[in-house]
Amino acid sequence: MASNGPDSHFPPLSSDVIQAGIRGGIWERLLFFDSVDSTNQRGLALPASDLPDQGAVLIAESQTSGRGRRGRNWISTPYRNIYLSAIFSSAALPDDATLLSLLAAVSGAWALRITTGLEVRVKWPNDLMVNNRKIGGILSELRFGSGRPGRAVIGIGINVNSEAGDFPEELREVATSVRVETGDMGSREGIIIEVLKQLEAWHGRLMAEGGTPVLKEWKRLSSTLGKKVRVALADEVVSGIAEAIDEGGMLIVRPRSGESRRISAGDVTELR
Amino acid sequence: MELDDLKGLIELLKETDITELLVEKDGTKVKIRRDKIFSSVEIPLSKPLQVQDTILRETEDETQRLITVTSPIVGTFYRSPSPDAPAFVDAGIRVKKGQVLCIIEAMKLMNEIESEADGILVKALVENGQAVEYGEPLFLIEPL
Repeated sequence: MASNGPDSHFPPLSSDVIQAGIRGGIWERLLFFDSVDSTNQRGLALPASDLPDQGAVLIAESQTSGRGRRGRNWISTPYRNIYLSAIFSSAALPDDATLLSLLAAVSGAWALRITTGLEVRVKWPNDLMVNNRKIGGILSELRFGSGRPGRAVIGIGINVNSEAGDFPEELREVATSVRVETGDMGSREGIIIEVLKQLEAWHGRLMAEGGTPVLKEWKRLSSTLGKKVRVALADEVVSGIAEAIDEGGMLIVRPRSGESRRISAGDVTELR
Repeated sequence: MELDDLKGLIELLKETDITELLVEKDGTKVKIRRDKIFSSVEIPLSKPLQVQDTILRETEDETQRLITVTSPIVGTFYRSPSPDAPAFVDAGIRVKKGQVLCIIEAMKLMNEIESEADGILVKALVENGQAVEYGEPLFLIEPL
């Protein structure tokens, strides 16, 4: 296990480089933190007066309680990886804000493909996978008050320079990083800039053209569709063929017998 | 005799020119009279009518006063932030406007649904982990 401080091998992020790389886009404000509880938590708590018209980004070197699905933890080794939350203000939300979740997967996959050459695929709904191991995860949060959505906070974690030994024992078979896959150190700044550019570009298309382009690209990058899957729901497990996603991004699973199921939330295991 | 039965009887009376109705059911006797009796000060109101009239008004008020929180999206309903955590809210507790009542998950987007008003949470209408449709009622809140 590597030490947890910045050093010549694992330098801190250069905010100047990132700022210069995304100048002029929808990301009107970038906030950098050494350590936070979670970037999503901070993003939700950010006072409305600090939120620009379109978007803001929070980036942290480490998280003390990085969030995963249903209260799970996201391992956040300091100075090795990327922990960021992209915030779309309510004015920048599409009609169906849920599509931002698939949009983030498409953006993350392309950012990694462009910057590292890795063949990143997407597991439903938005895990970033390389060789069947998770290299990045996305958890988004949105608040509804009086039936109307407020800001959307898209949390993205990407394993860049973690070594295999940085992952806890139970994750070593299922997690990976840019460094593990390529053998080289990845540029965190370069990946962050590309993630933010991709998010902006796909968001622009979503607002202008609706969900079709994002859904089409998600299907192209998907590792899930056509596979036999097991999906753990809150209180049951559904097995079958992952047939399709619908226009809202829900996964359609056809069991061996009985009717197809339309799934909005669950943990997918791809079997073959 | 149920309140709904009484409501039905009163409605029946309103729709016809019947001025007096006597009903006996399960040992309960109900007499309802209407029209001129209300406007006349000389003739005292019958006791049954007074009681039922009050009950009816209260019931209508009660229903009108409750706020129904509905689902703004299609997704999976959770009453707590994680499977091990306590529920955000339980029936009988006081909730504040803006307080998170539940999460509805869709495609790993966690939608936190806030209370629209200060009030008492009267009832949760959906079970944890259940799929909900757009517009489906989730909670009843009595505003304060």
